[in-house]
Amino acid sequence: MLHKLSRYLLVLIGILTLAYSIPILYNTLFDKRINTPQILYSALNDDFYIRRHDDKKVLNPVDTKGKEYTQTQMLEQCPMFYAPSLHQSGLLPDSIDGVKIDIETWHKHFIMYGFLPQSLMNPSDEYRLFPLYEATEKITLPGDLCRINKRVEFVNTQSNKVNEEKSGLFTDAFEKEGFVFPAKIMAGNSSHNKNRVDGWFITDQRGDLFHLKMEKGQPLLKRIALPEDFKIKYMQYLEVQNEKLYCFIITEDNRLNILYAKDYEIVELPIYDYIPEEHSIYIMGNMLFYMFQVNTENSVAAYAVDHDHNIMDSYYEEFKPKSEMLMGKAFHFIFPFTLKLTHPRSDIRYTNYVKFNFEGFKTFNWIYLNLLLLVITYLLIRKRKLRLKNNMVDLLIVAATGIFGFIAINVFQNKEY
Amino acid sequence: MFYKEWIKIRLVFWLSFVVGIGIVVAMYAIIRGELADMPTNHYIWNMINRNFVFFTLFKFVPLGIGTLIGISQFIPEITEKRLKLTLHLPLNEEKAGLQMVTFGVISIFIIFSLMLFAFLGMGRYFFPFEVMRVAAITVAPWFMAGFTAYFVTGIVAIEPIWKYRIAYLIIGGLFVKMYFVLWEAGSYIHANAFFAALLVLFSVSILFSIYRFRKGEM
Amino acid sequence: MENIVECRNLTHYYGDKMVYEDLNFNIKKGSILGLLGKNGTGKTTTINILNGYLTPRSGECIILGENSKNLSPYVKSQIGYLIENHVQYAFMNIYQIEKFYSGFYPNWKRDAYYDLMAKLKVTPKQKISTMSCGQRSQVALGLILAQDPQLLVLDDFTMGLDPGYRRLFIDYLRNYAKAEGKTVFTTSHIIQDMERLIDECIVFDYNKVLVYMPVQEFMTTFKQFDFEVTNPNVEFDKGGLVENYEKMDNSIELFSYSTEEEVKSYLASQGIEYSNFKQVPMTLEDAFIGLTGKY
Repeated sequence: MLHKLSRYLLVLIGILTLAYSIPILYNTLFDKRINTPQILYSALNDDFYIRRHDDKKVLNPVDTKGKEYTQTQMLEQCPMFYAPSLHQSGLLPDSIDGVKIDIETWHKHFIMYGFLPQSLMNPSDEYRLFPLYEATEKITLPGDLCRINKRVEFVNTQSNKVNEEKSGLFTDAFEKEGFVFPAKIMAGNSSHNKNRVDGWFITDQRGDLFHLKMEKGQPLLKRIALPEDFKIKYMQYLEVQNEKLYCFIITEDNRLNILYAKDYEIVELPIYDYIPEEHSIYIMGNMLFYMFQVNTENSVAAYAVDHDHNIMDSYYEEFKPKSEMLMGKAFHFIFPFTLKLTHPRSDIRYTNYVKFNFEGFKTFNWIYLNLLLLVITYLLIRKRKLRLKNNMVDLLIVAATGIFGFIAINVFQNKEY
Repeated sequence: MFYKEWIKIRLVFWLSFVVGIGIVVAMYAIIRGELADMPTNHYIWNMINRNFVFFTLFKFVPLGIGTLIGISQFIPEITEKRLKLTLHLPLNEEKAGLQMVTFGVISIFIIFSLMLFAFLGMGRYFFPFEVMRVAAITVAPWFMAGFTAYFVTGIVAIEPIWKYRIAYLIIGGLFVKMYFVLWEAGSYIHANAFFAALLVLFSVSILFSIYRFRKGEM
Repeated sequence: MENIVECRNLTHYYGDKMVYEDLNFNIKKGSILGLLGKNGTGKTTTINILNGYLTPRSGECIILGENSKNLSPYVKSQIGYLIENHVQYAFMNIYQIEKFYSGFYPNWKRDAYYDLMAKLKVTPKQKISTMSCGQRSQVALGLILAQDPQLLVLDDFTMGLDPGYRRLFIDYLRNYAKAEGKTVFTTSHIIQDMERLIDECIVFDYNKVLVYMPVQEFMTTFKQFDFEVTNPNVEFDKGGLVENYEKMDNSIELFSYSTEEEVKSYLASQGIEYSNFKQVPMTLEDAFIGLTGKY
């Protein structure tokens, strides 16, 4: 009996392997790139500009009414995006909406940031070790690394031993502030190429948020008050020159928030339908407004938000998803499901993690091919003069897994002796 | 049965053992040299923030060991169809097949365990626990690839028909490729358990080829 | 007498190519059956079916009461099997291989093996792969003797042996089998010496069985007649009286189960003129060639 089992196991392994490999081959041969447009917001015209490009060249930008502009015109219409080049050519306006503009203040307030699934979730987070920089001295990489498990520990990298004295000092500070070990999410800048030391933002076992810094070798831990029912899922620290911002925080219910430096104020942003695991979001900020662009597989949305966090204007555009293009449609006719270990690197959803993702298709287009293969399998069984009774499982396999099962049962053949 | 298997593989076993451990030792000798030039904190910082993997040297070594043990165990069985002798032993044929595979798996397990032990043990001398934990997660699929290669070698070698041998080799190769999809440290943290389960399923696969051999496919 | 092996209605094809159809034979306990045939007539196929390495298209083989498709370990221990070319675990030396096999058989006769090995001029650590064909045949034989099975299945054991070893092997085997009451099933395409060994024979031709009878009976009933004809273009119909014939110019060698008188009257009835008619004594090999033809 075991030999029969061994065959089905091989068929299963074959199906998994093929469900992984064949779609990749298919996509390598036929994949079409979707060229997501770039959205800009003009504070001069209070309108969005859309920059598209196809596979070969960048197209002329258009506004929301479809009016076409030259590249130079668009540059001039969107000074908040292109201030340095406008400054060079002397075209940077002195003020917009009564706010004085100069290149130095622009630099101070400019934020350009993108969150992709792969930046929110990265295997390197698994190290759970971070350098804690001394805030009051010249910034150099410390000789120890910090871990926060059952307590705070500093491991000297040279000797590979725990610095008990320093660890005890910090553990006491954490306990005093009511930190429940171990730490969960950490956000901060681990690089030594930076201008200032903001330390680390750390959530504890219960999900409470703390701000950790080290000054003159002493721990400085502050609890940050969170709004009610505020459960942090992702946290990204950003170093903005004006020192007004600490972090972007994404909550469990996929809401985007800003953690401001002043009084650790947390403000929810009016961005909706953003799923951090599947979409990417680009954040642009300046002294006049924020602009958020959310890209999904088949849409792009842009929000212009003022500094009081109200939406001034928004733009939404949908394009044909791959599944409706010829290659996508054919894909669904051929493959009943696929096994993905990673998404392709061109896919928004790509991360550096390997996971077993089965994507079963909601459409039932593959049924035709499955039926055809089922008939062929049946005919092959008759031709090989095999008993139908012994091949019921094979028929079921073909019915359920289509082309993958068909190949697998024919590679690992069911023979009767 | 184990006696015969041991006579077949002992040379390759010792060779694999020496090469496997030798590579680990050589790797740390290189790292010791690198740490003389770069402070340890910068070295580790590169691992954490630059996806620097310090042990790529032996990435394909387990794969090679698994294949070699498989070849040394199964090729002598199929030259002159000696497997007939094994199947003629007064044993259940499936049991005979499983004993052969068990022996191979144990041998590989011994080599891999010692390699892993040396790798993690010596690594802990240089690096904190977390670094070696991620390292273990990263090397796990490489070792599983070694076991898989052994099973694939087995079913390919014993399969009597060339056409199917090639088909098994292709599927086996594509499966092994799934262990090397990403190169970043820690990438397989969510996939290792699934792969381990598949590996267990793979373990009895050899019976299929033996069965086909016994039933006189040619 | 009890049958050790019973094969009923064996039919096998490789793809569409028929090997044989409805083959029936039995092997009685204590007898030595030889399966003779040219290369490619299905001798090894039969052995493979017998040992369970091949499942026939239809029919079955019962060995010691069990269907050869699924032999139990006990029955397998009662079958000594010598593979074509004396294949053994060539990566072992004679001590290792004895140690290996002895673990599987409770009634292992160690002395039988080492008695035979003592006659070989091999060094203790010499691997079987470096031995001569004759030496390897002795190792394989020694292992079977030590195994002490009821049935010995020998696939073309004479292949590659020089005459001395072949004679040695056959005499040793015959004495052993007769003394111990063993049953032997052997195949060969070299017929020389076979009559010293086998009691019964089956002769295979492509797709069919030509003979299945005791060797003694075959040798006495199957005859060769030589004569010369005046008309060199004469042809004989095969089947019926004439089993086979060979013609060289005017000389005819005619093979038949019939008596001299029957053949003569047959020739007369066909109106064939002949001279120098005589019956020629045959060895088993002559008879085999006579029956199956030279090609």
